[in-house]
Amino acid sequence: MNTGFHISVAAHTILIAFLLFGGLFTRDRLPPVSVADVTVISAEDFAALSAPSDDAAPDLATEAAQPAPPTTQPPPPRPLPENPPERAEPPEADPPQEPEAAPEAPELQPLPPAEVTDTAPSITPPGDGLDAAALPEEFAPPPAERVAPEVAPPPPLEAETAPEATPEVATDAPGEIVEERTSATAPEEATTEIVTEAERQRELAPSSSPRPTARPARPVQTAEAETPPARDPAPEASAEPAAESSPAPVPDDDLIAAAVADAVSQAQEQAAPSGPPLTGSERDAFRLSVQRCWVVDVGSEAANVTVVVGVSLDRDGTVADGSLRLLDGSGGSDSAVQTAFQVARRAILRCGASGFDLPVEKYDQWRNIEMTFNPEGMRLR
Amino acid sequence: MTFLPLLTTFRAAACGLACLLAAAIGLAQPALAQGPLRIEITEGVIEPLPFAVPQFLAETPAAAQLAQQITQVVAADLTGTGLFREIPASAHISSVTNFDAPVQYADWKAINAQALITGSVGLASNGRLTVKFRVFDVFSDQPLGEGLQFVGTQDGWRRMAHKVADQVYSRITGEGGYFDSRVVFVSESGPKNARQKRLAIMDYDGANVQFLTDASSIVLAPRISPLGDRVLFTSYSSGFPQIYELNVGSMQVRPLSVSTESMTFAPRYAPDGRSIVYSLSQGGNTDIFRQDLGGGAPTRLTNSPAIDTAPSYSPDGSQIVFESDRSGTQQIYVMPAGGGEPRRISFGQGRYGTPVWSPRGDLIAFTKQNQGRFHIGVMRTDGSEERLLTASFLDEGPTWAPNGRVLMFTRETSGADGAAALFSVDVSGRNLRRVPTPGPASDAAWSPLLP
Repeated sequence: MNTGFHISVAAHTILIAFLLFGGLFTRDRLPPVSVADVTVISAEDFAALSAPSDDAAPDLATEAAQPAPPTTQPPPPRPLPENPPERAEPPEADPPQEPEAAPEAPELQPLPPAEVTDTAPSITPPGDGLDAAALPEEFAPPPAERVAPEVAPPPPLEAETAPEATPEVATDAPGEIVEERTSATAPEEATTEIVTEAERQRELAPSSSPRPTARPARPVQTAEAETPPARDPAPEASAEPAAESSPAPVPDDDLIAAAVADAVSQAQEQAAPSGPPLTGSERDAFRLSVQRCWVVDVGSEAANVTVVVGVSLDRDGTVADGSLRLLDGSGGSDSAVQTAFQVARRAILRCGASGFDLPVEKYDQWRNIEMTFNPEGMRLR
Repeated sequence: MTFLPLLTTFRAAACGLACLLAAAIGLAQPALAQGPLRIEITEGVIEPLPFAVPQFLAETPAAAQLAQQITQVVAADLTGTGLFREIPASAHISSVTNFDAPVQYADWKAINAQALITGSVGLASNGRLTVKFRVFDVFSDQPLGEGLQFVGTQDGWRRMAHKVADQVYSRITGEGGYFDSRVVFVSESGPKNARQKRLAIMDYDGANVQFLTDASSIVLAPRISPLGDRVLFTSYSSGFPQIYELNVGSMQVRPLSVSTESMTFAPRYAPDGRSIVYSLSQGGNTDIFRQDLGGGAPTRLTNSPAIDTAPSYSPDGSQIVFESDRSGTQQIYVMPAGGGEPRRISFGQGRYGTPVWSPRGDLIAFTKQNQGRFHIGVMRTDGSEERLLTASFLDEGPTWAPNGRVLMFTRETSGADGAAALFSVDVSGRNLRRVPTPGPASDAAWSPLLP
């Protein structure tokens, strides 16, 4: 062959390659859209943030969703007419499309997530992909000062920081203010385990600091601990008997169980004229309302002590004066039992200060209560 | 609500089966309705208890500044445990203007203060300082114990503040406090290859540092006596390690008489303070010995070709925990105080050392080395429930607070300019914090509560 042919082949190859990929590169250079910092927002935060501001959400949602499929939408169609706040400007200010091919463009591809604006988290509405990306954070219990049965995310910081950084947010979107209110009452940050330094650094030296190998099995929870009270359709609809007889109905069986329970309670009404027994969900709600005030000092001797506390309630759900008494205590010295009793007493008084929420028509059922405070599962967290 | 119609239709359908069941269950349960409602609560929360301590009242104008300082120290003591959280004064609704006036519980409930501490400070012209205080259980609407008064000198105001905090701590938690205690440690200066070490003593919170020895010779591993009046330490002043005893009051140092061809180290007092246990290296073998401080020949407690060292008595004096490599690696063993067959209690991975029995008697703290990292950990005295509390390049030498609740230990950073510092951590693994010392410090030994 002659040189001309070679040159022609080479030139055509380059041309075809350019046509094939050059255009691709060009199209890939989408304006760097501001992306939410997914790592600092948890699912709960999203829920909290999104709920009140549904009206502002749609435009921002499309905006946030764009970086994911970068090649499908050639020029960003400026989705924000005028009501979205100013912090959406960075993407608009960028040139929508640069015609010339840029060889370094592919290297830009992986980068977009790095272009995170500080203000974004406060306003980013939930997107499905983002939501999922936020989840892994939840796997390891984060260190927090409070240890509770359920993980609570740190209260959203942006409630304080947002107004200063982007004052226009507050003025433009009144929904934001509502969010601040809700976040102000958000539950305190909590984790489910004590995270010691040895455990926190496990990522660095994976097996250097194993937890006590067999994490001691938590005492088997009674069935009602597993069904959150919210899952029951309605208190009056699911008149379950005392939880011993109907362990944790799966949702499918709920109706049958409810019907069974209803019949049971009808049957019991004849036997016990004092009113139907508390339903499982009512007992659960009551148990939860006490345990959220039960502050266990896990390093103390009292953390080995199980106490049974008797209490009488008034009809309005408040603790009858002087009715709190120690019925039984085991597992430690007398002073440790006393301390455990004081802690339990404080829990009942504190959470019952404004009256426990119990159905007044069943007063005879909950007039006298015996509460067992068993910290065994707490001690080994 | 949308559920209800569906439910009722379903209920009718299901009743055939359900009513049958119900009849059976209903018969079985009639007695349940009458007894008290029984609830078992197994999951609480772990969080600091909020307390309020309005500034102590000054009975005389001269006491105003002391009242402020004492309030600060009390609050800092309690907050520093990690078990309490102070509600700042700016959040207080009600103020305390009279020490003897009744407390407005509702005002303190409103800010969720579970404990309230009020106090007053008086300073007489002759320098006598009087601190009175009361503790209130806000949600029970009643005082927590009686009011109490401490009298001391103006110079000892920090100790009086610590005593107040100890009282508050023990009334709320039911355990003894540890604030009015001191720590003997080795104060270091200079680089790693030419380090000077001096014995020093300070308050548990790092205040009032005093030096006990000069920097002329290397000193190691101070141990404080059960009464806090004497300190055992190992010194190289004679050229090889030797145990000395220092009287904190008179500052007199005396060497313990042992034979000169052996090395002695890792001493520790018995709970009665009248004898010590230590390890003695002789002819290439290290074993544990006990010796009466009054004199006499040492008693051999272990006899094995392995290295047995770091003995520590149980608080009742009946057992000794020590480390030994008789199994091939360093592990922790427990034996009767008079000697006898040791029982191995540590079985995890890595090497275990420097066991220390808790003053409460329920736990043993240790240093653990595993996969290139050091940990301070605790385990029950039978070796169960091992819990690692810290992890770093080099953590070692745990010592217990007088109430067995907090551990202090040495943490050293890596590198040629690495320095040692003292850290404390709660036995639950929470509340890791550095103890302020004037310079690098190591080898802490926590004293008992001061009388």
